[in-house]
Amino acid sequence: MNSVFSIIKSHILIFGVVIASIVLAIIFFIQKNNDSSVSENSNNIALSSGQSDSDIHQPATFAVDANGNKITQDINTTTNIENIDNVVAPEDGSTIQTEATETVSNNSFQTVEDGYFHDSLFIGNSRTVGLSLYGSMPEETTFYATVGMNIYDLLTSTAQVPPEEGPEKSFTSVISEKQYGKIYIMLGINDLGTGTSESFAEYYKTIIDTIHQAQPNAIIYIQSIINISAERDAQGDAISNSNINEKNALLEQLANNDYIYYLNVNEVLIDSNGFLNADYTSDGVHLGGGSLSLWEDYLYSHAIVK
Amino acid sequence: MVFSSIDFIFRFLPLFLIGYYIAPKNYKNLILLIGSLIFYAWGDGWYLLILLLSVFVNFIFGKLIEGHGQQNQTQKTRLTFLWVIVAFNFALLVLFKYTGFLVENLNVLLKLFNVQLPAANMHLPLGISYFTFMTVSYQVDVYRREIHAANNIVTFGTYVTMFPKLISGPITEYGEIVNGLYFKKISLDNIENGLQTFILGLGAKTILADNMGTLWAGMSRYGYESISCPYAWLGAISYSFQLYFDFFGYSLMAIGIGRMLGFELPKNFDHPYASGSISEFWRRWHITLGKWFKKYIYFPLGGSRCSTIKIVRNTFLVWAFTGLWHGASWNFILWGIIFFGLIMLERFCIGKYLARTHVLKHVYVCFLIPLTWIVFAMRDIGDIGIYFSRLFPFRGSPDFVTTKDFWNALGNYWQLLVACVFFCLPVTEKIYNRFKDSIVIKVILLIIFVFSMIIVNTSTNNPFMYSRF
Repeated sequence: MNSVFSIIKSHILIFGVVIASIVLAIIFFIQKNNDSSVSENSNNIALSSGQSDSDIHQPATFAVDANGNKITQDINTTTNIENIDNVVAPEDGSTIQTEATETVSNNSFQTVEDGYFHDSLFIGNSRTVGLSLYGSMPEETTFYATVGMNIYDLLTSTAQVPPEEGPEKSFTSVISEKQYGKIYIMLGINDLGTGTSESFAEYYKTIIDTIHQAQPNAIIYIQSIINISAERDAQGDAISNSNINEKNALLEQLANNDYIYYLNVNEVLIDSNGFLNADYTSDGVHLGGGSLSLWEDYLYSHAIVK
Repeated sequence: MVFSSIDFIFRFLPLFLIGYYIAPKNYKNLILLIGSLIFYAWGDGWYLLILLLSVFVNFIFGKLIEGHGQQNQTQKTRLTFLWVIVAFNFALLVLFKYTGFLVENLNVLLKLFNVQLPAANMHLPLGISYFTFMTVSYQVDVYRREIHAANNIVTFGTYVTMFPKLISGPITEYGEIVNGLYFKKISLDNIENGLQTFILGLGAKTILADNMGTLWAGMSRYGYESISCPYAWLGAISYSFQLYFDFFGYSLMAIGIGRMLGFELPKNFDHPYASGSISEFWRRWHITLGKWFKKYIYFPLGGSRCSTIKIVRNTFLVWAFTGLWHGASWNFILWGIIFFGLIMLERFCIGKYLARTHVLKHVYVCFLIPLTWIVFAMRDIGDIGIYFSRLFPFRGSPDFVTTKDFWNALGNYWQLLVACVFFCLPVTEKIYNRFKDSIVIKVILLIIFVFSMIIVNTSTNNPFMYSRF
């Protein structure tokens, strides 16, 4: 008996690792089963917070659709209603769009000064982190953003506020502890491989509703998902412009032009083929520090003043 | 299948170990061979056939080079066989690893004549750079009569394919593990000891290297032109740590598994960042690769016992090939040539002065090595230029650049950076070796194991992603 004990003692790591492995394997297995029973999305891409957004790989085929690329641009830059026929969206899309175009003219975008953003909250992923790190938004602007943020994690997430700098805060506390005048959302690039565009838009709506409940007086801006460069698009995974355009078209329909507005940031960032201008990015997904002013200027000149 | 994955640690390894330990002594090599082939196929599917082809052909040539009965086999035929098999092995390597690169560069030349070859996108079979070097070393050693050829194809196949070292080394000479192939010493003590080494490697990889990788990934996200000078330096340091702990960790895991199986694989790292010169760095970094180049290229060319011109030529060839071995791309060649320059500089100029200093030589190494890794890290020569303009911003910075990025990163990573420095110091290993049999160290290792597995599990979200195979 003593000799058995001494063998165990001098080889404690073997026994420890075996036991720990069994316990961990069981826990991981249970966890995995729970995940797949709770969420339909468990088969979709995994995205660690450490990964850069461009590391996502999801085999999916979306052909580059030049027409589709043009659409997003048309809807937002023009008052010509003929173009709306091109919208790749449910049939009732065009009626919503017509209304939208009309309301925008009543409640039109104006150019504003720094002070406008003093009570603003920016919610987003690594692209917004970049804006916070390298952009020149007024210091009073609040940013809630992390690398890899996706819509499904947002409501239960925590993030450093300001990004990569301040203390860790939960999303719930950020939207409940203070009332903001404007809330800018830029999400979606990390959701391109998850679910369908419809399920994406549906959940996006849930997020907006949640925010609106907590922030009834805030104007909520849905910023279009910024397109990607031609080079990134050519990689042929789920991160494609046609996929982004499809989602943007649905996001645009979420705007009610009462307290929800759609901002087509792409207007100032894409080239004539609808790709993110290669001069503005080095990895094809994120805006470089020197190009953020384009995005900022767009926000300054597309503000709703009530 | 990487060592630091749920698949490997919770599926492959336990099943394999059970099979291996219950197998009778004479069948252990066979089990190891089969296990290794499964391991390879798991990662690279049908490219397994290339590995099998290489094993088969090399086994036959090993026998031919050794010569049956020796008298009817002249030295000349043995040498011919050696050249044929070395050519075969390198042809395979060149075909799969360098065709794309060759075609790309040929096309640049052919543009002058308006002719273009189709781009060749060859898949790089896993571990081909490593197993090619091992088979070549085997043939040369048999030729030199340093070793006997393996008695049968299972023994030889086990040597080439054994999964701990198949994919990323250590590049092991046949003579170094021949004992393990014929007489394995499997004991609980060895298993315990191997497990300790394995967990150290696992921790280095998942806790240190992967986190440093996250820090490094942040550099490129918003473009290198966006980062501040101190952040660029932090990036170079983080990449240096990532690379070291990743590869060092992997090597430790390989050595640990090897020991659990009754093999003693050679050491690959010996505190490289604590070196006092660049030449010393290369005697401590990826030791088995340096040894290979020395034994099979540098010495046969005359080594250092020849005229200065020849020394320069030999060193140049070794470093050009070392660069090229790391990848088929110009930045690796540039990187190799930089080391050639530094090593020549030390040999003929500053080496003896440097050796007399105590602090300066370490400052010198710690300053230069991260810079060389930047060249190593970036395939695009233009990116290297931009990055260096951030490291040395003599022409000023764009006005959106602030050092906020540096302070944020430092705030978030300082604990890990301190840990990385600590684990680069030789004294840390001394402390560890002194207490490694104590219960305290073992409990700490167990905690590292559990912690690493939790990281591995959450970082992929879906740990059983490959269950469909």
